[in-house]
Amino acid sequence: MNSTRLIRSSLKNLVRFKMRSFFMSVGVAVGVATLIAGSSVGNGATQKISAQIDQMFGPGTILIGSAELKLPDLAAVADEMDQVVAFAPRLSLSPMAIDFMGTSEQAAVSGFSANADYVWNRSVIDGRFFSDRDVDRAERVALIGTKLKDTLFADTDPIGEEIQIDSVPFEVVGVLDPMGIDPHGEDRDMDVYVPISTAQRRLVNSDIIGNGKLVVGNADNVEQDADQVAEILRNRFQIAEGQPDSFRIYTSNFAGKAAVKAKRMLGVYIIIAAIVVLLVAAVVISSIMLVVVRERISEIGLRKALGATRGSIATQFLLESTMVSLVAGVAGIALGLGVASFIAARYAIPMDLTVLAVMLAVVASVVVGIVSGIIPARRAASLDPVEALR
Amino acid sequence: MIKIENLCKSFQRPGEALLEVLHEVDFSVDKGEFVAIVGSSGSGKTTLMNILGLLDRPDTGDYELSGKQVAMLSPEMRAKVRNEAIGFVFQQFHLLPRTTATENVELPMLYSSRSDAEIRRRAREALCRVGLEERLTHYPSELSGGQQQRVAIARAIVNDPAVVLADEPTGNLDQKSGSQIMNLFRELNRNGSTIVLITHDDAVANEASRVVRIDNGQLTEAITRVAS
Repeated sequence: MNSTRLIRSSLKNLVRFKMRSFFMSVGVAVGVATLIAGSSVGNGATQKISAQIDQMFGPGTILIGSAELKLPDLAAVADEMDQVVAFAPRLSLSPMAIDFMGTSEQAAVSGFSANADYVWNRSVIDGRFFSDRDVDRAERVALIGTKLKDTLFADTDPIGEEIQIDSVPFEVVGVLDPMGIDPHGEDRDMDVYVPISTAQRRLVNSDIIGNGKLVVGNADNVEQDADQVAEILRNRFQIAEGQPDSFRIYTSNFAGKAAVKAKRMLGVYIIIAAIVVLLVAAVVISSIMLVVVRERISEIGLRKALGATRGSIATQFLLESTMVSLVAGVAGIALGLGVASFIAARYAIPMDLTVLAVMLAVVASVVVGIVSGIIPARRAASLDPVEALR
Repeated sequence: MIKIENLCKSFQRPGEALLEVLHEVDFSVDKGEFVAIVGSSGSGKTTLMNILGLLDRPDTGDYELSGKQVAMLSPEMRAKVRNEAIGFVFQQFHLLPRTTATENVELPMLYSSRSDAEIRRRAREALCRVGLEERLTHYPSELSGGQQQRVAIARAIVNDPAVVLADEPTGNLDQKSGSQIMNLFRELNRNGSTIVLITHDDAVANEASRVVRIDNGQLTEAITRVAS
């Protein structure tokens, strides 16, 4: 029997026994959908996280966190290290009440310097960023996140309006670019940025800044640079030999490694889940095909009497299980895409389906079909026509 | 056409004694003959039919079909000979359900090297020869028993076999359909088909041009009659 005739007749059998084909397909479809949706969502999520990590860290950056860090400490580090091309402080305050015309909202307020749009990698989509003059004179100006803007101002223009931060009046001069939820679970579109000097003097009355960020020229040496930063800070904070650091230092390198590790873990879980589902699918197809062979014993006997060889009988059943699995795999790809695009829309994760994942899904469904067809096909081929026709 | 000599076949079921079903059988059929093999159940006629149809192999003996020794061929070669040289008609029709009459008749040609167009053409011609030109796309469930057996006969003759083997072809039919089927066999025979009919029914056997009796594994009697 030639191959196109075989494929045609196996497809015909799939259509003829719709219910049975459906039950045989479910497992493969679910397994493939897991693989497709998992890989698309997984890639998209890591893409989003890496983008955020890039935004928070950027290449070749060093982040310092310390309860005793003041602006002169940061300046001293930058002064001693020629490779530092820029630096900027950050003062994170606990959430405060933000009021506008009777509407009140809790939001995290942070103090930044005028170069924070470059060093901390966040600028404005509307209005203007702080100027050096704003910072020098501790002006009461504020930048607000898009979501906070929507809450307080709805559709009206916030630029030039006066809001109260913890009862202190501030002029809104800009709207921060949207960033979404960060890996710590903070909604960064609810942020309020004020000049760091204003935050220190008018909101908390303290010299402590808490965080600082350094940009070094060469991203490759960022680990050695971080060691040097630690040494300078230990001297300034007069930490004795053998005592632990009173500060924490993170490099962009470290954050990138964590993201890669998270992605790898996720990939392993998805593949394990898909393999388990596909194994179950293979067992299901195999056992249904064995029932099919028993049901069609007289058909097999007849075909043999009419001239079918062992090979063509085996090929027929192998093709039937392969076709059902392949069709199920294609349905699974569509199903997985549907799930992935639903999740993408619901959680603002980009869709990222690779050609490799689709190819893997097709190959996996063909392999499942062949493997699960082997035992039934051998049983069908070895039937004695005299017995089978009785 | 068919020449069998010294054919022996025994079966052994577990825990039972060796049972010799065919004992030194000699049998031959000429081209264009219509032969009936008559025997009661257990006489060995089904075993003989299976061997004639190359569904089974004899223990010893020779079987020459269309000038070729076929008794001891490999399973693959026997499949090829069955496909090209033998047409089967069974008591239970053995049509594929949910498959049209035409597709059922096409079935043996799917295992040959004929082209799709030729397969369709021959299937239609065969169905016309058995008088079912009005039923080409009917499913077996939509056909009467007699019509189903006609489809099976069309399937048996579609590859122009050297011999048509019919095993109790009227066994599942009422009197009227049965005699129509026998008329069809006689007509096919007049048009050149070689037919071997196996039955337990003397009345059916007498429709053939030659009757051979099988009893206890031996062809005990052969009556040559004038062709009707």
